[in-house]
Amino acid sequence: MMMNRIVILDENTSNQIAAGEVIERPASIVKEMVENSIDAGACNISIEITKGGISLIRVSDDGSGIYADDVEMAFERHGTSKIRKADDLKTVATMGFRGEALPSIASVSRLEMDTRTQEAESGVKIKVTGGDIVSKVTSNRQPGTTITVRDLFYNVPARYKFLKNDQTETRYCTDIVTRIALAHPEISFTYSANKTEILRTPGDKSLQSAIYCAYGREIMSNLFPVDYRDSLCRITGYTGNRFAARGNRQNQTILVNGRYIKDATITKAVEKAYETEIMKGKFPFYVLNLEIDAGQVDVNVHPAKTEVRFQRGNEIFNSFYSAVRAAIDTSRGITPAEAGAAKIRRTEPAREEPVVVKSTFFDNETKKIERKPMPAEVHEALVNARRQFYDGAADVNSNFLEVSEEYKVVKETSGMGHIRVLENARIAGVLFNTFILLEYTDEEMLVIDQHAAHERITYEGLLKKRKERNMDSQKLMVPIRVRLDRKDAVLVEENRSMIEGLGFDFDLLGPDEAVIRALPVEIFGENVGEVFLGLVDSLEGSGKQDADIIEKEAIYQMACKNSVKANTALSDIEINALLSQLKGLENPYTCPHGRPVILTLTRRGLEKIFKRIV
Amino acid sequence: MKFNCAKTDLLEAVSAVQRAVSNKNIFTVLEGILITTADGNIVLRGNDMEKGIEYTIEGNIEENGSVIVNSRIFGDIARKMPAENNITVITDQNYNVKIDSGSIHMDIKGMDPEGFPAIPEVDKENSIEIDQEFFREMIRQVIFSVGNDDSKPIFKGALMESKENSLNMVSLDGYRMSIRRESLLGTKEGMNVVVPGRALSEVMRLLKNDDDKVNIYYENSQILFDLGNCKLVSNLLQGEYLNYRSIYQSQKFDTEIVIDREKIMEGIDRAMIVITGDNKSPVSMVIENDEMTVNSKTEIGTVTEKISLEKTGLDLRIAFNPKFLLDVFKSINDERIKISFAGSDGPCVIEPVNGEEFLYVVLPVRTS
Repeated sequence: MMMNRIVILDENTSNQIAAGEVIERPASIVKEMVENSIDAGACNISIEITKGGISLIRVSDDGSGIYADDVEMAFERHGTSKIRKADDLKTVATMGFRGEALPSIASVSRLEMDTRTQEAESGVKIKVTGGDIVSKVTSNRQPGTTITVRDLFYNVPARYKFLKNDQTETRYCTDIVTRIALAHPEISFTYSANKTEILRTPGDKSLQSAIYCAYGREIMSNLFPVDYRDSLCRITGYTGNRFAARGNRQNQTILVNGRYIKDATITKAVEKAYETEIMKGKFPFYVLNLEIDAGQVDVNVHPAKTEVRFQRGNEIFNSFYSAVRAAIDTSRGITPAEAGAAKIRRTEPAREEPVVVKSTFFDNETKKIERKPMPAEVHEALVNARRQFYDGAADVNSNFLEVSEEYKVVKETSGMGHIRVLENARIAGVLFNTFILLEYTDEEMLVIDQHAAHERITYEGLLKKRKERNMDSQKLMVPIRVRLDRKDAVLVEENRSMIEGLGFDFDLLGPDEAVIRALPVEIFGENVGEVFLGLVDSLEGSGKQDADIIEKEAIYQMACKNSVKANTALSDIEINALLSQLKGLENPYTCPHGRPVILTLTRRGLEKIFKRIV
Repeated sequence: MKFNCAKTDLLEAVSAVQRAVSNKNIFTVLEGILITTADGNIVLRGNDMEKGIEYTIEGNIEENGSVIVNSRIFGDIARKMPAENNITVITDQNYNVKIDSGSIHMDIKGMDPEGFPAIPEVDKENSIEIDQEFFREMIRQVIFSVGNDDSKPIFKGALMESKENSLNMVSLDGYRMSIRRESLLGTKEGMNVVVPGRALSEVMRLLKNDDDKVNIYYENSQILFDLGNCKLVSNLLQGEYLNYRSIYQSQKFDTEIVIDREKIMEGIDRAMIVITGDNKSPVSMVIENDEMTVNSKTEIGTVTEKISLEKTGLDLRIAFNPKFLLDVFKSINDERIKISFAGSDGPCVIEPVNGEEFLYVVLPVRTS
């Protein structure tokens, strides 16, 4: 292999590369160093961290290594072997290219690099402290490079102060290593934190194996492959069915030419493709790689290179939408021609393509109904109605409800007036087994979302109970095993006392499995594993908020599972019970996630809609 | 095919085989009942692929043949024909079915019997014989704690195992377990099968309250309950059943009480008055000296009741899902029962005062 010798970029070039801080936290170092190893052509990369990477990060590879003579230059700013001039930036195919990472890392830590090229007879070991080279000796290393970073930010107390606790930093590192491992199934990664192995991928070029290693066995049966090509790009990977969907976007990985990135357009396109397929508040699982001409995408937007800019963003949206839609449709046995028709549906209202009516997502039984062309607003309304069906609640922001400004969402600020209304209102009926209609005197009507109402009631009830004492907990005769991501296991352990207070009794059986020995009596009869995972999701999503909020979120998850679903017929007695419970609440106006519970419309408003008065 | 039989016989047969006909099956033949005549008998069969029921009745057969009829329609016909008349059924080669009863005549469409899935034959080598009445009682006493969780399919069945001179039946749903033992002279050791709860419930309904025998034949994947004129074949659940004895055998029981079954059952039932709707509050029990205080408290109100008992060992405070206790107490016939506790967190064992006919294990609710 021809080796690229290291040179210093000319000033013009380095100015064109936006200056920026690469290192925020240990995870950014891990990312830079692993990407260097990948660029060096490594087949095996091993990553080791202790104390969240604050006290130690070590990345070893069997890549090309660095020439002994070039070693010092690697620590000078913009010392790189990957590009030569600004024009190269347009076609850069390597992970790194700025020549910024190593010198930046070296300046804020005690760094040691041990490296040897294939041709060299021995390796060279260099120690750099706070940016100054303190020693350089020969070593007997095998070809490849090992970089050890110790005592991060020892000389920058201001930055050190902003680091989070070890477990949180570990979580960030685990996350980035997982993503990179998914991006490079051809490389075998070994990753351990505090001497515990967390991830090991085989490097057998199979994305499937990499996903298996990262997310465990259970996910595998809920995935289906994506393989899409158009004139612009190719999209490959895997995307999950509704069983693989989670309460946050943690399990979504977008790769562009093998580089892990975050991109709002693509995220939106995929979620659009999933519209009405999975419940609102759930996010699909996917690992998708976009192969696109390097000239079509600008990766030099941000020093961490997690953001990119596409020249043809709209087309990228369409490509991702079509790719995922086709994969979903194929998994149901619809031919690709029809899947192509689904693409039209996104931009324009339905034409003559058959509507696919499904009883359950992804089963084999598929009925097709031929349909006449449908006006745009009817189509939109249908999509909304379907969304509400899956969702169990109305979406206030949808056009459906904004048809009339006469409707009002009853909010807390509306005062206690409507509680009185509830007391004296007559039940006028129930719509779609979902919305309760009330008539009050002859001046006003109210619409109550039964699911949102019940959710609110359950939530406040649980909250009240929890305030008084720990939740009652039913012991299990046969413990229930729940498979977790490794980073979730850490999270669960961190929040153990809170989770136990909610009535769960659990142990971790290793780095990725929990065993539940007792469960809150409130979720009796529910799928315990699912509730537990929902709780883990809420922990993950809540970030660094205070314990009280995390607990409320977890209680909400339980309330949600425990509530009457929309589309369940309630008797008048049940409706009355629901209304009287609603009256007793602190805040009967919104469900815990802020969706409205009660809408109101006056007689006058109704008359206006019908043009009886103007 | 042409036959004639008593309406009551036909109705009994149809009602029995309907228990093995699925009404939401996608294969229409499985929504049907197969009627066959052979050897002077009329045989009706239903098969939902999990279990099959075959019911034989007598009648006058003029012409042998077979046909599939829709289960719901044919069932309604059998039900609504006048009881005093016999029913005549005639089919032609296009499977049109004519049904006559006195002055009533009906025509319905039948289906080609070809394609009706055969009910599997079960080898007769391994068998057990037991009184129908006993067997029915055994099922009744374990069926309520059969599991319902799809993620643990093996617990959706009850374990049947034979020891020398005894037959055991076990069910557990994750929170509680029922064990029923029946001594049965001449029983050989070796039976160890898990029968789906749904099949057992049907068997329980088909069994009669008399001393007729039921013969049970089993092999690796099927079991046959032979009640004479009626046979039920069910698939067996595959997989290892839990080593259920380990749940209570290694426990150390510190408190043991003997109590009147009806009193504690009624006490729990009264405590449940204030636990309404979807409220899942537990019922607590305080055992002190020779008395148990049953207590429940919700927003609706409180119930407190004292029940006398005989105690050995430590005083105790414990709480339970009241439904679990009520189910057990309802299934037992004994006047007095023995309850052993392994602290307020451990399993609780309910047994007869003497003997070992049954044993229930219930796990408590931890309260703070």
